[in-house]
Amino acid sequence: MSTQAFKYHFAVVSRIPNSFKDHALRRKEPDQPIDIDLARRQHEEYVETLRRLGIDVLELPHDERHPDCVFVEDCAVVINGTALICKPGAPSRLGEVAVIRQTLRKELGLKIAEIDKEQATLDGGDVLWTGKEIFVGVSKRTNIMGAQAVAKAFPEYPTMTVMVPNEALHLKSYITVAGKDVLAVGKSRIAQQLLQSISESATYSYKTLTLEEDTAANTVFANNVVVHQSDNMIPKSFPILENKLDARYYCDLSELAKADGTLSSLCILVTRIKHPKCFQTSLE
Amino acid sequence: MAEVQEMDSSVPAQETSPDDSMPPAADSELQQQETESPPSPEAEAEAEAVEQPPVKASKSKKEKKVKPKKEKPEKVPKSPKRQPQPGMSRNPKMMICHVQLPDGEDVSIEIPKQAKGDQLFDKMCDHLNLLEKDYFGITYRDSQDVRYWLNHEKKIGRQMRRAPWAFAFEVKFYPPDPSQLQEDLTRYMLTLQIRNDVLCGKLPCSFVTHALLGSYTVQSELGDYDPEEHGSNINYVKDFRFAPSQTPELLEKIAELHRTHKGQTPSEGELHFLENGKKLAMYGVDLHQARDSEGQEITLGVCASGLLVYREKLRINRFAWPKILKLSYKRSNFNIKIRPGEFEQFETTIGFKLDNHKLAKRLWKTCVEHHTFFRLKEPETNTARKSFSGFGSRFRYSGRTQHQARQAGALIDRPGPNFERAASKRMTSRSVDGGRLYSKPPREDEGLSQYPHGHSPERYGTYPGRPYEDQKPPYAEDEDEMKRREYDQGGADDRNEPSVDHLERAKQGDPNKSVHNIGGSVCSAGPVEASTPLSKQGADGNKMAFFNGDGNQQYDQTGYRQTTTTTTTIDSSSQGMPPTVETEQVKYDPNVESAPVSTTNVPYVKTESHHVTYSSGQDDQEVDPGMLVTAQSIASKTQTVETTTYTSEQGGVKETRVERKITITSDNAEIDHDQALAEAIASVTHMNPDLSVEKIEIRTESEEVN
Repeated sequence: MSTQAFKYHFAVVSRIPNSFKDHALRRKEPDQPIDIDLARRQHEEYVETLRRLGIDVLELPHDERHPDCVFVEDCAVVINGTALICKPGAPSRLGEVAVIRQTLRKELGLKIAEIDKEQATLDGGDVLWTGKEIFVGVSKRTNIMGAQAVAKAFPEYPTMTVMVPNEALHLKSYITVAGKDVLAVGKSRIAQQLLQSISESATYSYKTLTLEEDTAANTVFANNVVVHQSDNMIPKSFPILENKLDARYYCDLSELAKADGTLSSLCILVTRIKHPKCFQTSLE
Repeated sequence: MAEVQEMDSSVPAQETSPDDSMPPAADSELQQQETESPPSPEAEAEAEAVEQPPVKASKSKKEKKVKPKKEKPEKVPKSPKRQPQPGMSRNPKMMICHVQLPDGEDVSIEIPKQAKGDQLFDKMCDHLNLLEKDYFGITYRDSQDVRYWLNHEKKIGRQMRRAPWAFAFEVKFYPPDPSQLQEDLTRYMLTLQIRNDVLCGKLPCSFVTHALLGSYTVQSELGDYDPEEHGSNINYVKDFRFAPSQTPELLEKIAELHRTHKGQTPSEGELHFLENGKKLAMYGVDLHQARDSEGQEITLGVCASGLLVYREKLRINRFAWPKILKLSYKRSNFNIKIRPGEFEQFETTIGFKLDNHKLAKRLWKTCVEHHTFFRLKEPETNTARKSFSGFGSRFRYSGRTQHQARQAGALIDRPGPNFERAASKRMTSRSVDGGRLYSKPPREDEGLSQYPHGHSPERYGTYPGRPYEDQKPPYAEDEDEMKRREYDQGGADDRNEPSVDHLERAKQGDPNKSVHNIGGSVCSAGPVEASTPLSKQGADGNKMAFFNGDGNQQYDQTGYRQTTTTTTTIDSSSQGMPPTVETEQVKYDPNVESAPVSTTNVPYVKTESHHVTYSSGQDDQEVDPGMLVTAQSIASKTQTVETTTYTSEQGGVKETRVERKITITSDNAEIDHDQALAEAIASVTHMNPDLSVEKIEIRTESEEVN
């Protein structure tokens, strides 16, 4: 089954520390300050959604020392039973990976891969795995050496880099997988530029789901369901998603968005297949 | 170059591998050019200056002096442990080749010293009982341990030079879909190759993939997991070699996965193995180290879909074959010309620098071969016509393409060959019973039957419907200038004796075959002309008589086993069939007495020039050459090629004649004249296999210096 590539059994998330409100990194200060309680409720709703997909969610306790710990995606890249432990580009976040490493190894039995080079930086949010190949955004948070580490850890897949402009945070802020061989992308210049880079270097061809707002393009595709943003966040794109997608859920992450939070940033998804016939790929 | 044509039109055409949407035929535009050095006035002058008037006629043919240094290795070959001494056979005309098989075994094959690569290859395939040969090849390593593919058309001796005759039988073209291969045996061979690729790091994997592949290997070799036999720990797998570095953790995973494969036969296990292998990013990617135009280190990968460029494991570029307009090399540079993008006007040329000329040429050859094999329906003919440089390597892939291989494969009619799987090389030494470490052999594949009567593993030459006749000229979209000659079906039968062996070799595109004499007219792989036959007796001293020796016998009189049977029924059934070309393998043996000219008989020549005139026109008749169309002369350091094209009307039929005069000169005596002659002939017939050789004139001018 080809969508087996995006069949997930476990997810790792982290609860939100109080320090999140004032100290989580953000590109610009939001108009309204973060409502931490609302943020927590929204996060819980998100976790519930994952559970509804049949995913067993491991919730890590929050860590006050690391205000951004909720954005676990940036700490590890997990494909095909190997977890590459990242080196977040923001120095304040480096300490987050320890508990992630521990959890992935001990609780989920994944093979842990580490980044060799000192100067490498890698945010998981820059790694886009399409099921067949990997695109790594070289951005403010991820450098070439980080991209090399990805290629080395996952040699089964062709790995290409994509230059992410400075205005952007992560590659996946703009493009994510929203179905088998489907890439969701917004209409902005940056988004289209990134899409162009991907299509030029891609080995395989993909369909695009073009949305209005850039933030709408960040989705989570798991177990044949697309989880996307709620209509208050993406009023124009919401009807398109309703129209184009069969199985979907949506989540309101308004408070987390104030710290540049996206849907994909909040979890690390893990596949555990008892009797695999093939390594994890959507190639047939 | 021979073609495999469909005899039975009901066999469905197979698709070529459709990586991109462009149809394969479009790729015939691809120019594959080699420029060793640009033609320059200096070169021309040089070529002319060296031409000497004949001072002394070449020695008589009686003197069969074989070049002394070639056969014996002068020194012990350098170390790599598995390189054995080239064995000297008792028969001085034979050499012993040591060929390593994918399962690690070595075989020794005795072949004539003068043998070409395809003889060794065919022998190996016979030994392995392998029918789907097109995906495989033979490699050797030079003194720098660089791996080269043995050229089927050239003499082995020429390629090996001083290196020991040690080879490996390997996969050359990795089929993108192994499940479409016809025989389990072929899949088995491919599996062995991939196991080796994984072990040596050519095919990198991460943990789970290593475990999966390993588990299928264990299932294929040991059969179902049996707690009694295999125990409950990892001991029973610990001696296998699965990965470049393996840990107990990996072995545990392998054992765990092995249990889940219960019921799989060895072939099934291999199929699953291959279904995984084929999806890996580096599957079938042949890597070459190079530098980009900025001097940065990169790795170039040649594969079925095109050319890939890597830097530090990241893929920085990908040029699918349809995007590449031209492949060329010059000195140690390798260049590709890329089709302009959608919104671009001009083509782009991208250059890469290899460490040396030899490596650049090797890379170029690999690209040409892969492109031809995977993208074209048939091997190319009219490439580089316009840019034909006329000197240096005119190498073209002359084997069958994947398309043809599949077509032929579909016609394989034998029941799956019963073959034994050798236990893979283990960490410990093999046991005496042939390597089975455990008493219970793996489950036999179902559906295997005994060989039907008359068949044996060595004889595979008989199977019906092998479509080696040419129904129509093989290169249909061929040279428009060259008129196709008509078949003479009636005459064909007496002149031509079928030879299965030839047919086997036809697909290798043996160029000599294209120009041999069958006692009748010389014919190429194309249509046969009912014209004046070349004299077999060499009545005209100027003519080169080709020797067919004993028609069906491939090798000389040393009692070397024939590799094929001659039980083809193709000739007799050709009545009522579309015109067929039966051609016969002819061995051109320069040492045989009646060769009127043999420049190998001049041992002390310092300066030699060797004129080969290859001209059209009937020998004894005055022929009006017709209207001159073009005349072209290209010169390089060692060769001058003059090409003159005429058209004429004869009996209402428009004909085009091409006269090519190739002058090969050399400052030292090291020219292999046979080689040069073969190449000169091949150069023309490669360009256009429809071309019939009507006359060959060889003049050797040499200056003896004592």
